[in-house]
Amino acid sequence: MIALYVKTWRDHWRTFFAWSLTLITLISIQMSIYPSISENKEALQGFLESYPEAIRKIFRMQDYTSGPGFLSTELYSMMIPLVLIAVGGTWGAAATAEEEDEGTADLLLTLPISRSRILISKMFAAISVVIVLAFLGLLNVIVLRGVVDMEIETAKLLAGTISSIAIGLFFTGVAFLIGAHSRSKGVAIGVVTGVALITFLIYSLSALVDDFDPIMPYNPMQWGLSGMPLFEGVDVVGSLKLVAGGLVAMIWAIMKFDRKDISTP
Amino acid sequence: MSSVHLDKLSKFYGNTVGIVEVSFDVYPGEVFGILGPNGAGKTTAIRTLLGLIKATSGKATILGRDALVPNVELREQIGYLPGIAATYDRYTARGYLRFIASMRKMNLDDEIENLSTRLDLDLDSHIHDLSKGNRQKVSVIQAFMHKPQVLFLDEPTSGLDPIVQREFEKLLHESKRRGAAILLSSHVLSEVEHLADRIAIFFKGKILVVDEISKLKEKARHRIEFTFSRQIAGEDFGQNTNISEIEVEENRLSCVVRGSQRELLTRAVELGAFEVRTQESSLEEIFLDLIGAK
Repeated sequence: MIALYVKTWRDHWRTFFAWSLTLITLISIQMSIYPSISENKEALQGFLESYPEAIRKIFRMQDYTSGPGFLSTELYSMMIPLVLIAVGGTWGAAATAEEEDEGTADLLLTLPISRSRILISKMFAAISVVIVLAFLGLLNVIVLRGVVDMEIETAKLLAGTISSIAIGLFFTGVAFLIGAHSRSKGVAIGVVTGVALITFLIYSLSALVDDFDPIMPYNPMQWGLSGMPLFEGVDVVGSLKLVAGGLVAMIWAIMKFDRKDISTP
Repeated sequence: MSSVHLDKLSKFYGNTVGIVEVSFDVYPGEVFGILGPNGAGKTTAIRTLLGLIKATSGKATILGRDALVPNVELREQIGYLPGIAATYDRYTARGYLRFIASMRKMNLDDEIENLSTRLDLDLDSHIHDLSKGNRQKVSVIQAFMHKPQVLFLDEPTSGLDPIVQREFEKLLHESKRRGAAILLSSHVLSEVEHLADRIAIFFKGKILVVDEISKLKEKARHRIEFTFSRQIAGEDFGQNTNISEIEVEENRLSCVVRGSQRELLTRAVELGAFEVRTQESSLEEIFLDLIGAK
């Protein structure tokens, strides 16, 4: 199992490196803007209040000029979760679909290791990359917090990171599930990206559109973001729902993969 | 006791036929060839035996254990060379082979070195830089390196040059000598004829025949040419039911005979034949004859 775990990291280290660089760049750019915002809090707050309420609700701009408000709007409500979804989703989708697509599954699955152990090894790798990347982002924010003189407790940043990880793991599980059903990595990534964007869009618009209310309890973005972790701390129930959902999807993926007829390219 | 046993093994993809009630045995120290045109079911039979696809019905055992139920210990005894030599391109040949060895929880460095020398493979090349033939060498090494008791080889010599093919044959013979059962699928008839002890001919998912090549040749059609001391007519042999394709040219007659030649030879002697030439069927002719009959 360790060999396969290491192999998964080795196969994807370039994408890990690229996404790490992307995440650090995004965080650095966003946080570099913060001093100009904090220095003009009153003027900016007045300016934001002139925005239509709908826009303020969609982008959840309440208290935008505070550290938690700024980070929540700019990083933890969308950017960081989406990066984690992209990485976990890519690793999850590649786990089985890419092996089938490239014909390497044929040999791998005749080696003395069960299908479920193969998939579990790859799941551990995908889970760990989501966590490592999220903590890399956290470290980046903590370092820059002092540089840009931002006031936010480390515990709240940790809460935001945990929520982002939970969202990332949920969609990683979905990616494994779609990958196990499909033999195309592209299809699996496409479906996961589509689901993530739609659920995020519905979550954003739900502040304005009451018609979405009945489905919001089932929206994973609602579970992860509505608790406003940078203000309120970890939303335990929401995060547990996401992690449980991701685990259910992974177990389902294992069951599907165990019974599946492996295709050839 | 056979190493590989199939009993009416079938695989359907929805309404599409994969294999239908396929039965055969492969014994220790035997090379069993499976022949057939594309889509005949050769690869489906191998992939079903290996658990890559689930059988629709029937039974199969490998080394006495149920092959249709996932069994990790059984896989330790199996070597498989897939029809498509797909390997992990980002690895070097050595890195890839070590990875496969580590999945088998074995240290096979010495064997990897030995086999790469024999097959003339540069282990430090990246797989994405290797030619098709060299990639095939990597696949051959991974299939043989742990000295398995059962080998499944799907188009094993595809892309290999004649010198390496010879080395491959030596590997095959070494495996036979240590008692491995080898299932070899190929569309290269001469290769199967040369390497296999027995063969099964697949067509449209079914087995047309399973036998030793020598016995198949005995039963097969032979072209025979006689020279007579006088002019001859085809009707002179008309009573003989196992001959066909009679061609007469003055005092020479050629025909195709199936099975026993006794009756034909007796009649030819009676008619004054003084020279006989027989042409043994190649496996290709046997194969085409069987397929044509269907």
